[in-house]
Amino acid sequence: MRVIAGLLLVLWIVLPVVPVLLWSVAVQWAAPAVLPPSYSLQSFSALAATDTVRAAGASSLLGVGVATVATPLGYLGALAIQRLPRVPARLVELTLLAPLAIPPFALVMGINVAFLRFYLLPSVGVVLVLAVTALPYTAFMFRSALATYDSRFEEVARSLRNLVANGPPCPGAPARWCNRPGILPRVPGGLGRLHRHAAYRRGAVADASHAAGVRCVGYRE
Amino acid sequence: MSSSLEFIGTSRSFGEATVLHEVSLIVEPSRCVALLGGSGSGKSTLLRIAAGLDDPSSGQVLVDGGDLDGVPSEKRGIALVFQKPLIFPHLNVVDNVAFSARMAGQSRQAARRHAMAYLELVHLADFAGRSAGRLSGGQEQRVALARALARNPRILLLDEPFSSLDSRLRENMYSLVEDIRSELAPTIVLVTHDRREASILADSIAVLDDGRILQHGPVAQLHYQPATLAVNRILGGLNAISGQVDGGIHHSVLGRVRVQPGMVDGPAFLVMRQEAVRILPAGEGTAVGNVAGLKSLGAHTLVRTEVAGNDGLPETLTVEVSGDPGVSVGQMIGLQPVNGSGWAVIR
Repeated sequence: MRVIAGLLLVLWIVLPVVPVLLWSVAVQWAAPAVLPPSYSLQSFSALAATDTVRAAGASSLLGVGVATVATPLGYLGALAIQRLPRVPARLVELTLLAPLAIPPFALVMGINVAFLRFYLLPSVGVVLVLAVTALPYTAFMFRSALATYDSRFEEVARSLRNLVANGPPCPGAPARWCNRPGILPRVPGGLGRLHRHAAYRRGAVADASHAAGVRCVGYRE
Repeated sequence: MSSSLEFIGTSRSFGEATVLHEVSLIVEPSRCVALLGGSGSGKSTLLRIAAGLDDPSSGQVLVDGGDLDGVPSEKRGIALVFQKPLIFPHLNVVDNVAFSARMAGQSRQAARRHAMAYLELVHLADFAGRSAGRLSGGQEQRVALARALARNPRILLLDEPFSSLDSRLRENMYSLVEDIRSELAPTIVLVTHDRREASILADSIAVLDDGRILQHGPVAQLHYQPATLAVNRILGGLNAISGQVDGGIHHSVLGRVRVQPGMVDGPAFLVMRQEAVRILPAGEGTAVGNVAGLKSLGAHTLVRTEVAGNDGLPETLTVEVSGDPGVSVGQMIGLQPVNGSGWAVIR
């Protein structure tokens, strides 16, 4: 029974893709033909065209730029909703939802006017406009993630960070680096160690929630 | 390395509500003190203040005589184990225990080697590679203990760490804590609402009620020489018989019972634990009681008796006997304090 259910599930996902795949290799395909009368890879060759590659590159850059701006802002927004008292939290929530409630045309026109006043570069402007529309999604995605997160992980992690004189030694690093606050970015192997030791020298600190693999913040003066 | 921990006049208020009222307490190095109290008594708040996760409204917290005011949690050298094990879900067992060493800059290999020693201490060396989600409740709490100990803390704080475990696992954890104490001798502050757990694990118990320490002393002292009726109640004492102290003798329905020296003359309650009263055949003992109820505690039975008072109002006296008490409801029995002496309190 489970196998049949699994197969049906796969079919349910795969079937809608089949016409798209056929379209990708069809020269022409008109009703009432069940299958395309002739096939060609012409559509795929268009993928390699300069314009397509340039457009894909621009879209990717735009996507990365928007994600880079909207993800940390969304995280901060979600954190504010979770940790602020009820009324201010609700205000933050409404502010984050506003881009969804306001018609996109009005939003973009309004933001564009502001950007023009600041003499902003067009590409930066586009990233920021898209980041504003992406912000509600990133914020509420993080909000869902934070809802299942126990903040006591941070408290345990703080109490486990060993910054006192009786801490374990720090092999491989000069004695002066040992038992200093350290940020531990998840950089693998030797590079991570080098980075870590360098961070010790700078007196870097990690936010306690780093323990739960969530985030790193700032450096200690 | 173990350190002393001292609270001096520590208070904590949340808005109008004061949850700790000028608490003063000393925990000597390598000793285990249990903070015993009910829900809302302020015991967990006191622990959070010691750990640096909360700030006192007033008062001081000292470790080895040094004031911790303004010292962040990560610089206090104090490890905390919660009721929920809070095993980091993205790390396996050994990496959870190695977390502190990794944070201190050790290589993964060295940190894991360091962690293995502590996993052996909690008898979980065979589970080193297991993911955090595939542990039982007891195993998770062992990992949490090992992780806290691997940090080499000056003071270990345990916030009701065993209350979610079943009784068999809890007994195992008590043995484990004993092993840890004999091996590493850490200073431990244990928060619990379970007086049995406090009595088994701690050298001394501090009884908290409504944000105040009512009494701090050795386990036996709190059971048999409570400072107040509230301490007697929190430590499970069921008997407080009203009467009058005159010349060091308490006069009540139980007859004349010698009480502690220095007790001033006047109205006082005779505090007599249920285990410290003996049932005798009717006509013997210092008082006569009528059996009003029987309650089984498994291997023990509580016998509730009503003893007629001089003013006509009966006093209730409960006696705990092992096995079958050999009495029935409505039967008249004799009652006598086991030691022949008692402990009186004024309030």
